Amino acid sequence: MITAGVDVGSLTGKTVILKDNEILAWNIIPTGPDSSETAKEVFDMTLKQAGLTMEDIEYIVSTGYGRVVVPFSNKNITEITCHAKGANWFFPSVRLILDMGGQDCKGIRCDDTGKVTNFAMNDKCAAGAGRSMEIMSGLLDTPLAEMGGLSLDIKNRLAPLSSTCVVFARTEVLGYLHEGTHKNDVLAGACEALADRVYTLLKRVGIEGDFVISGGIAKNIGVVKRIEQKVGLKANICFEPQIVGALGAAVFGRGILEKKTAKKK
Amino acid sequence: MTTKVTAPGKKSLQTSLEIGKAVKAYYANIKEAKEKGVPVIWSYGLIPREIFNALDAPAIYLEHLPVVIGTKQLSGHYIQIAEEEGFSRDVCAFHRCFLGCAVAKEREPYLEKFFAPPDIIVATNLPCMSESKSFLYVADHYGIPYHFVDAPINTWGSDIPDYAVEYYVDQLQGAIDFLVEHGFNYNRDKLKESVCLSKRLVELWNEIDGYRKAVPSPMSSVDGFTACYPLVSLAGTQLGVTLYENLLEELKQKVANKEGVLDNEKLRLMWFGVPPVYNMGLLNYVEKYDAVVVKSMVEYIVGGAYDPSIMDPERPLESLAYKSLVDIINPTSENMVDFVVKTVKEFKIDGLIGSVKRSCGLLPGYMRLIKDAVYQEVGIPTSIFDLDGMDIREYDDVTSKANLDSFVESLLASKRK
Repeated sequence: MITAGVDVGSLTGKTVILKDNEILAWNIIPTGPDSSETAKEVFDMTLKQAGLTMEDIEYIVSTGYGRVVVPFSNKNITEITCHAKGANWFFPSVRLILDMGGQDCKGIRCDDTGKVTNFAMNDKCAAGAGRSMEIMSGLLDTPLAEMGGLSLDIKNRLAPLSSTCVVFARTEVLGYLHEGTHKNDVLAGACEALADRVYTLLKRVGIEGDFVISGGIAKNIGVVKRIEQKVGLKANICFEPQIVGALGAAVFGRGILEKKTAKKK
Repeated sequence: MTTKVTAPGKKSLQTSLEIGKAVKAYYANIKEAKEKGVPVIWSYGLIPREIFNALDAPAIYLEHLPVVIGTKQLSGHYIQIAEEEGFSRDVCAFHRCFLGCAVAKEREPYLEKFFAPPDIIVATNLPCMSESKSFLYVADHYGIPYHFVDAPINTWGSDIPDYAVEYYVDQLQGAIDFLVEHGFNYNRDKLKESVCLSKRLVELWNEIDGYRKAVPSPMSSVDGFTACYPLVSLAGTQLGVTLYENLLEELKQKVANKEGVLDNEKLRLMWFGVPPVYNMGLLNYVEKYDAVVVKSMVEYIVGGAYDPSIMDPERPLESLAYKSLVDIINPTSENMVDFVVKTVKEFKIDGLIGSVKRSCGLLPGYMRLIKDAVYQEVGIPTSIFDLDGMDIREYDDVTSKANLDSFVESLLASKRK
């Protein structure tokens, strides 16, 4: 049984191909101006990687903000539902998920089957999302991948930043840099502000049970460490936290196929 | 001003159209009175409408005019004018909307049908104090008389003590005296008649609610949003009673025929917070999942949430004082929370949608209390997200729908389990 999940997010498009219960292939590409084209491109890449053709895929579920414009999907399911399912696949004991995506951030509670029992999304602001880190990366001339590590190496003291608005935070950062504050201290402030913001979100849904972080910011060790400290839980992070939603979509596809097969019998 | 993707709410009842016509006629009558030289009063919904009836005083209610503006997607324009005037974005969006409309040098031809400049202001602190300050600005702007009615905050629940009722009776009498000083004639018999009709209006509203509890729901909250208008502006009038009699008959028929808003109703939702008046179609959005918003908070904060048996036409001012103070919008959290829990139970609600208008100083605080109470007492989940129901500039269609999609999806999954 081969199924696929396609997650078209605000910043990246992801595909996972699942054979029975094993990941055959996956890919992540930046989302272009045409979400439909992004979906097709990342899907084709993944098919090629797996040595498969479209006809080999028995069911495709799309998710993410662009889920409704994926022309080849059989069904679309929201990313919150898919992230919970994907996190449950990686870590069956998970009950609390923090998905930190490109433009938004979600706190999700789920049961032992990966079914959503509660969720909260960040409000209309990118301050708790990946985009804020991209802005800081550009401003501080630091690659995204290095930001987290540097933020843990505080040189003098953490430079506190606004946790309410990324645009105001940008102005604050410029102010610190003009004062000669070390880059690492500013990075520490940025990671702390983000952690503060998502912690509030997690508190809203209730902090309990095993904890998973998904989404691109899960790769930022500076943010993850600070969140773990606030939450008081060790975060489980899979080998590629950006594919959790796409994987969840593929798992849903498998479930749908299994039900169909059972009905036929 | 950018144009946002919006859709009007889909109404399914004939009486909604009749009420729509009554709204237009109401404002047309006010404009006509103004042209004849009768002073126009601007007031707020919890100053009992019946008093204005007894004075034959044309009154515009300042929580309704912004709705009229909002439904035509014009709220952003007038809110911006208020901000240009110096009002902060933290001031209530409803207030900014009527403030902008009040001070605007020009108004759209559509709005001119509804807009009559004020000659007198009767303000109050019920339910929110900031409204009285917004009204002061309008009074200064037009150079007109202003009277303030002080309503005690209800800290007693549903049993209002005599001294509080007496105090509010004095306040209401003060408003009557003030308006008499400004040329209106007060007719106590008319006040008694008005109280009698108000009592009937709320009895009918309660009967209507009884039929709305039916499964499938015969009436969505989009119709409910229109249907609650008589409680605001037509309380104590025969027209209001007639409209509700018609609505009741229409619902009786639908329930008898088992005719619902949806053919295959799977979920029943309730909306807490101000729905997007500029995009009421969002309430219909969930219908693609066979979900229907059967009730919204707006329907019970407009002055009809009280036991009509407290209305005694022989003690008209006391009755009006009591009903105002006991109304659930008077800030006593227990009344509001209890009311929502009761509604969730009686309407067999599967999920509560809580939309937060950040510029409201009153309702966002209730959200958490209500979310907890509804979950603990009925086991029903709530999804809370930001959505300013009045300021169209703040509206984010993608995020609002993403929240609704995820919430409905999780509710459906729970039902299947």
